[in-house]
Amino acid sequence: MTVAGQPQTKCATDPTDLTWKALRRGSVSRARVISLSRPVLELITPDEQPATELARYRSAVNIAVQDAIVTLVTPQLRNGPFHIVVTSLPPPQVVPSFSVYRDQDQIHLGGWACWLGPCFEVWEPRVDWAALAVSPIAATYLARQVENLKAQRSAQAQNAFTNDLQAAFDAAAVQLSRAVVASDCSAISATAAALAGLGPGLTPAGDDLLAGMMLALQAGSQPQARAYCGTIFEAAAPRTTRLSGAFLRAAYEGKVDERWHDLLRSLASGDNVLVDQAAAAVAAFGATSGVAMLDGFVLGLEACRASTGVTREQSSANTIE
Amino acid sequence: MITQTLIKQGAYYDSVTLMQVAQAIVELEGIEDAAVVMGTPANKGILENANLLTAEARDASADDLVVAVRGNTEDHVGHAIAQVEQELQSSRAPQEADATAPRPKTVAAAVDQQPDSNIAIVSVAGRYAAGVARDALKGGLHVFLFSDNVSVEDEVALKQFGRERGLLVMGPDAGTAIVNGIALGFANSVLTTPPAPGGVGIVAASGTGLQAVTSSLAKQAIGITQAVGTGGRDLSLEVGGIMMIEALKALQADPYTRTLLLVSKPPSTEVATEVLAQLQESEKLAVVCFLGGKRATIEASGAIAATTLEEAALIAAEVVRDGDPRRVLKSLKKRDRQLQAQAETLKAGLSKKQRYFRGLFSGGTFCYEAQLILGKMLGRKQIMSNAPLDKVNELRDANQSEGHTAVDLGEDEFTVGRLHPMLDPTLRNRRIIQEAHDPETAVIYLDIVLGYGVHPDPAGAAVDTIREAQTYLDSKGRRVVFMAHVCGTSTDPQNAIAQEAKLRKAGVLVMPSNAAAMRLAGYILRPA
Repeated sequence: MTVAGQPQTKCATDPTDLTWKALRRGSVSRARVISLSRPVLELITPDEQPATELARYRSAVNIAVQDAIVTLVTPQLRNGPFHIVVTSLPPPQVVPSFSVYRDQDQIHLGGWACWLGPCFEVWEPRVDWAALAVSPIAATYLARQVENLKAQRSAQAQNAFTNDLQAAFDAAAVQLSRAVVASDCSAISATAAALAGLGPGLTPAGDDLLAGMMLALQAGSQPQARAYCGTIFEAAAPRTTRLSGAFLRAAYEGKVDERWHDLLRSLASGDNVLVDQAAAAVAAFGATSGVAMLDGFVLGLEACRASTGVTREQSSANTIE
Repeated sequence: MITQTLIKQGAYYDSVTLMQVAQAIVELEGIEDAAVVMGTPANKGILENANLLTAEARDASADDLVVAVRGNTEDHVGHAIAQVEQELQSSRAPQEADATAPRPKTVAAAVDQQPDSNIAIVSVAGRYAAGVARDALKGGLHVFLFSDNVSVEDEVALKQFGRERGLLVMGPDAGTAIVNGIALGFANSVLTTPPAPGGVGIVAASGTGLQAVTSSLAKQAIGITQAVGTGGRDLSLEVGGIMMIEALKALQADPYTRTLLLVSKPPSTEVATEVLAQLQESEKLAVVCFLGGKRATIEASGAIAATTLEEAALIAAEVVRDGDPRRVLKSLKKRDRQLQAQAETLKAGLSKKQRYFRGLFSGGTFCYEAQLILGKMLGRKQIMSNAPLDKVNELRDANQSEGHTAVDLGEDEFTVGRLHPMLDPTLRNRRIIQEAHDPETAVIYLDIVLGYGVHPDPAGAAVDTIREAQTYLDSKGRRVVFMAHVCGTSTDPQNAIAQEAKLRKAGVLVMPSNAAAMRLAGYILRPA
C-alpha cells in the first residue's frame, strides 16, 4: 500500500488463481486496483455484504453496497469519494445481487475480483477545509468563468419542458442563496427540497447545485457552514436518486473528487491560469453536472461574502486597486 | 394531443445520454414537448406544470427514469417512445474494438493490451505451442491449447506447471470448452447456470463428446456451469488425468455445480482409480461416461455409469431434476424396440448384397462410440476404422472402406494441409459418392456437428452431394439408407432445427443421437 501522492509502482507479480471457486468468484480477472478512497477501503471489509449493480458506463460502474455507493472507474476518471480506480472494469454481473468483500489480496464483487496487491494507493477525499483559504481574486475570476460556461450551456436547444425546468432551477437557486445570506434555516430547507432531484441526468442539476453550495459554505468559512450543510443534506437526500443522495452526503461531509481538489487548490493559490484549467475539468463532468456544481459553488461563495459584508463588486474593486 | 409515458425502473443513464435523447425526440415530427428525467418529486412537479405528468409518471420513484412525450397523434408519440428505447439501448451497446490498435505478437503483449484477460487460447503450430502455453501460464493465464502435435512430455510438464499455479491447461488438441458461459473452440450455444436451472459441471477428455452432452442438456433446458475439455490424452497413464482431477476439484468446490458429468474414452486403470477416488471427495452426484469402460468400477465409486453420450446427458438431466435415472434406461429400452421395428421396414428396401455400414465421421468420439455400439451388435471384429478400437481392425487404406467401416475424417491422414471436416466438407462429400458407388453399402451415416467456429451450413454442404448420390443410386435401381445426427442446438449459429429440416428434405433419416443412429444401423445390418 502506498500513501496518496506518492508515485505508483507497477507490481512485480500478478495474482494466480488457485481454485475453481476463485475462478467463479472472480479470480479470472487480472484487473488491478490502482487506488481507492479511504471510505471505500473502510466500507469493504472481509465480511460479505450484499450489493447490486446500479449503472454501467464506458468508464465507470456504480454499485450499491448496502446503503453506500462504490464506483469502479478507469484511471481517466481519477479518484473520487466512492471510487476504486482499476486497470479495467468488470464485465456485467450475471446475477442482479451479489456479495462484496475484501480479503488479503483482492476485492471481490460477485463474479469478479480485483487484485489489491501491495502497491495500491489509498486516497483521502476529504478536504482540509480549515487549512483552505480561497483567494478573493481567484473566486471572482471563477465566478466570471462560470457565467461564461452557463451562457454557453443555455445557448443549447430548449423545449417547453426544459425551459420550465430552467426557470424553476434559477428561481430556487436565487432563493437558496438569499436564505443563506439571511441565515434563514427553514428557507434553506425549503429551497433545498425544491432543488433536490430537479433536472435531467443521473445527478440532477438541482443536486449538483446543492453540492456546490455545501462545498462553498465550507470553503468560505461560513460560521454556520456545518448547520446549513446539514439542513441542505437532510432536506434534499430523501427527495432524489440513490446515487445523488450518496453524492450529496459526500459533499455534506466535505469529500470531493480529485478535480475539485485541484480547483480548490487553484483557488487558494490565486493563480487564474490554474483556476481556468481546473474549472474546465470540473465543468467537463456530465452534461450539466459540472457546470451546475460550479454554479452552486459560486453562489455559495457569494452568499458567504454577502453574509460577512463583502460583495463580489467590492471584491472586484479590491482586485483593481 | 396525446401524452404517453415510458418508465424504466432503476435505469441509470448518464446525463449526456439523457440530454441527447430528449433533444432527439423533441425534434421529431408531431412532437410538442418531451422530458427524459429521473422520477424525483421536483421533476414530477415540473412535469405536472408542463402537462406531462401521467398516472404512471406520478407513481415512478426517484430511481426510475421517466420518459414523457406529448404529441399530435398516438402514432407520433408511439414512434417517439420507440425511438427513445432504441437510443437508450444503443447508448449501452458495447464499443467496437479499436481496429487501429496494434495486434499483439506475444502473450505478454496481449496481456498488456488487455490486462483483465484470464484465459489464453493457443492455436499455433505444434512445435511452438508448448512454449506459448508456458508463457501464458507464467503470466497467470489459464490455457486452452487448441494446437495438436504437442509431445506427451510437454503436455505433462505444462499440466504440472499449471497445477502448481492453480491454472487449467485444457488440451493439447482441445476442441471444446465452455468457461463461465464463454464458448472456446468448437462449442455450442447452450444454457448456463446461473441463470438457467440445472447446474451440471462437465469435464471431458473429448471435444465432440463435450459438444454432444452439452447440446443434449440444452435441448432438455438444463444449464451447465462449466464444461472443461482436458484434451484426449489427459487420462492416459503418462499424463495421469492431471487436468481432469484439477477441474473436478474445482467443480466440486463450485457452489453452482450440483451434478458432475465426466466424459472420456476409458482411462488407464490407475488413472481411473484416481479420478473415481476424487469423485468421492464430495457429496455431489456424478454421472460418468467412460465410453467402453467397466460399469462396475464406476458404480463402485458411488457414481452413475452411462454407456453412451446420449445416456450420460439424459441421466445427468434426470439427476438434476431429482428424478430416477432408471427412468432414462427404461425409456431408451422402449425406444430401442421402436428402432427394431423401424429397421425392419428400412431393411425391406435393401438388396441382399447391401450389407455394410459406412460411417463418415467428423467427430472422433462419435466414431469411437459408433464402433463400440456396432461392435456389440455386429461383432467387434467386424467394424473397421482408421481409428479402430483394436489394432487388428485398422483399415489398410483409410481412403477405402472394408466391410462395416467407421471413418474418422478428423484424423491426421485427412487433415494434413487441409481444414478439419467440421470446417471443410470436401473430403466427406467425395466419400459419400464413393460409398454410394459401392454395391455393398447399405447405410451411409453422417454426424453433422454445429456450433461456433464450424462450417456455417454443414447440412446444406452435404445435401447436394447426397442428392447426387441418390440420383446415381436410382440409375442403378438401388437404395441406400442415408442417416444423420445433428449435434447442436436451435440457438447455434446454424440452428439445429433448420439443419435437420434440410437433411429430411433430402431424404435423410435424422436421428436424435449418435447412439440411436448406431442402434438403428445395427438392427438394419444384423444378420437374420
